[in-house]
Amino acid sequence: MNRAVFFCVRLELPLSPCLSLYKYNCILELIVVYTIRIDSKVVALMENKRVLTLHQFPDVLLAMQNTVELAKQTGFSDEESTFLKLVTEEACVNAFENYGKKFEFRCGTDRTFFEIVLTQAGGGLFNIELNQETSINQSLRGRGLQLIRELMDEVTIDRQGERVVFSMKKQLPAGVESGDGGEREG
Amino acid sequence: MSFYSQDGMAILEWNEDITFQTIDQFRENMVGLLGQPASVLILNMEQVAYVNSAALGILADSVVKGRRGGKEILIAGIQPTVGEIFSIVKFEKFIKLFTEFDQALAYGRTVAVTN
Repeated sequence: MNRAVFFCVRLELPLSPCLSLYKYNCILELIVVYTIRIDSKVVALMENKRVLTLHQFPDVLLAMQNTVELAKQTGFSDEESTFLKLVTEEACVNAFENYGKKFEFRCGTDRTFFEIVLTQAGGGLFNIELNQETSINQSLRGRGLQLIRELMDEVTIDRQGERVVFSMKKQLPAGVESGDGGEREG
Repeated sequence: MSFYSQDGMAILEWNEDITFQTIDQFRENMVGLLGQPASVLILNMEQVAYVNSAALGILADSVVKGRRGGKEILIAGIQPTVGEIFSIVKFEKFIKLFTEFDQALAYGRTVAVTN
């Protein structure tokens, strides 16, 4: 008989001493969920999520660092992790440039996808048009969303009243199963 | 970051990833490159593994402004990740891109001779 045991640990801790987390008043919520299948042997599956509240423009760096760390931990290659970091930068910079207020950033995995989600609440909207043209652009601006669309597998915006959820999903690499971060013990 | 000249071409060596943290410095350096007294300008990106969309905008704008002023900007030393990003925004359609710096130099010499 299989049993699933879940442990949920919430930590609030400084992200990086050199970035002066306290200065930026950011909180990292590191949620680690262990699913342990108990039968003849123990198989530990790990699902990680990172949640940050970004208050100021420099906080984007924290989101980028968390994205690339989790992406590598999940099993993405260095190149793919770099692209996920780029998607994070583009989305967060867009949010600050067009919205200008704090918003929630989270990234994590489920059984199929690595997902990056930005959530705004309390008025204001991401200034994002998903169906932008992708012709050759020789101007200064207008490539951020194009990069996001091309690098990710699913991009959606869900507007519910004043709450806006911008979700970007990338299929997990082949061989990575069950959103377990690519790590198993047994 | 450093400017130097070789075979009548002006060269900018950019040695770090281009993020929102370094974008202002990159912009200033590209303005500096455009101001060099040469008709062929090379941006060497051999040490760059990451560029954001703002950097792409500056590159595109610099190329367009350079052509208006009779200058050709060549981008050299393009690493695979950066190359893929360039491909997404179709840079190959209007910018001279080279994976090897020496290729850019060789091409630049032919352009300089023509001019």
